[in-house]
Amino acid sequence: MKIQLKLNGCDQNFDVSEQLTLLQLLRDEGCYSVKHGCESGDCGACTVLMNDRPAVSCIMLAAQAHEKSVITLEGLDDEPRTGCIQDAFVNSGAIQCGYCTPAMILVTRALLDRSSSPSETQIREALNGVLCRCTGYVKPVEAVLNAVRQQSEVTTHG
Amino acid sequence: MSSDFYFRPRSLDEALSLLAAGDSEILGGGTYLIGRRARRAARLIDLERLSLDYIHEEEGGIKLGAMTRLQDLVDSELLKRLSLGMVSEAALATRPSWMLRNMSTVGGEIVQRSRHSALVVALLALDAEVTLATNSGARTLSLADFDREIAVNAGPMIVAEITIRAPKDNARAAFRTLAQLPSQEPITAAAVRFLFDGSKVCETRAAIGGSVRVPQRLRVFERELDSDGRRLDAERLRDCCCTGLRQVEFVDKHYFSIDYLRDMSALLLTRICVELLEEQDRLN
Repeated sequence: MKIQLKLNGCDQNFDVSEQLTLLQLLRDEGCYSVKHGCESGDCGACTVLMNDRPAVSCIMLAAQAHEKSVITLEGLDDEPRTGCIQDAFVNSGAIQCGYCTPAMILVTRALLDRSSSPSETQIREALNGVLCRCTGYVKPVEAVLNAVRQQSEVTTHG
Repeated sequence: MSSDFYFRPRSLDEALSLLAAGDSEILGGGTYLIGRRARRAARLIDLERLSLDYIHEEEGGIKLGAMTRLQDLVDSELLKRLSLGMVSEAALATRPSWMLRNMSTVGGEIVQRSRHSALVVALLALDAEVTLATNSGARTLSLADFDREIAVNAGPMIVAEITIRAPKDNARAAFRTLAQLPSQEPITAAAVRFLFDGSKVCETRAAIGGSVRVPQRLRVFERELDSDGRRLDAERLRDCCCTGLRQVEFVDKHYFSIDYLRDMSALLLTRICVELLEEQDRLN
């Protein structure tokens, strides 16, 4: 079946099998930041931004993304705000094996779009759906807090 | 986009016609259906285009479109005000993952009747009503009667809307869950809504989920409280909880015995009731 979606800002047409998941389509298209994890929506490693809201792509058919915007980390490579979040994750030691990191970055970006100064509780609630077996979440939460701080400094000092 | 498997009808009538053809499943957010590959039907009917994602204040209540995402329930100021805070809180507990809340729909939660659905527990305690689209027109029934309706009505039907009546001034409600971790499904979830006459309870609605087969109203518990003209104290509440939960069939879970689940559910229920009574005392 033929579907069209805006993938990382570009309108694209795809001819997909009816039961193909969005995760499979994105990885076939070279978006390797979208990780293959549980296939049940529990681990969050396959998170994408669907119409700017974080969603898991492993339990979504590619057909469900028809006429929608899908953003993966590849689509945010050149964006300074995302770079700032990535720097905060690196500098805070929030990356170990890295498997969940793309999802954490996307969730953080979506969170900062909703609130420029989220509380630690809001940060923990947002990261809740991304399973991380390495860090114990302490460092990722610190990283998001640091990203918030840096973002507000940039805003304050221009 | 054309397919013999995946359909996106533009009206409820079209969706019902597709459903009547048999071997079809309704697709809401897909969090239950797509993850459960083994049970895929021959056809999927996606309700995405039916404009059923809304939260409206109407005729002294709130109307929720069946395709409203759980995250929209969490964010809705209207719901926080008009559902005594319970719906937003329960939506958060039902799907601790933000990503899944952005996908799961309120209609899907009702149709699946997962025992872990804290949202259904809260809606039961709020006396929510469900409007079904059927071939003979729209029909509205109490959410508490939904199981029975599915059992007796074999025709195609689609959950289209959920209605929550605006709370009366003398209503108090609370919802609590018990879970090992915030990110895990609740071991037990309970919701209680009281209508007060002064400091006395004159009407009770209570529901439980998590440790039972499907979320359900606690009618024996409600009758026990409502038939008692006395002012409730902790001891009387414990008695009512024990009597009310005696008939409930708990489901064995890993690590938790039936006795543990029954005791913890009684404890949770008692705590909610005590909390509501204390709140009412403060307001009096």
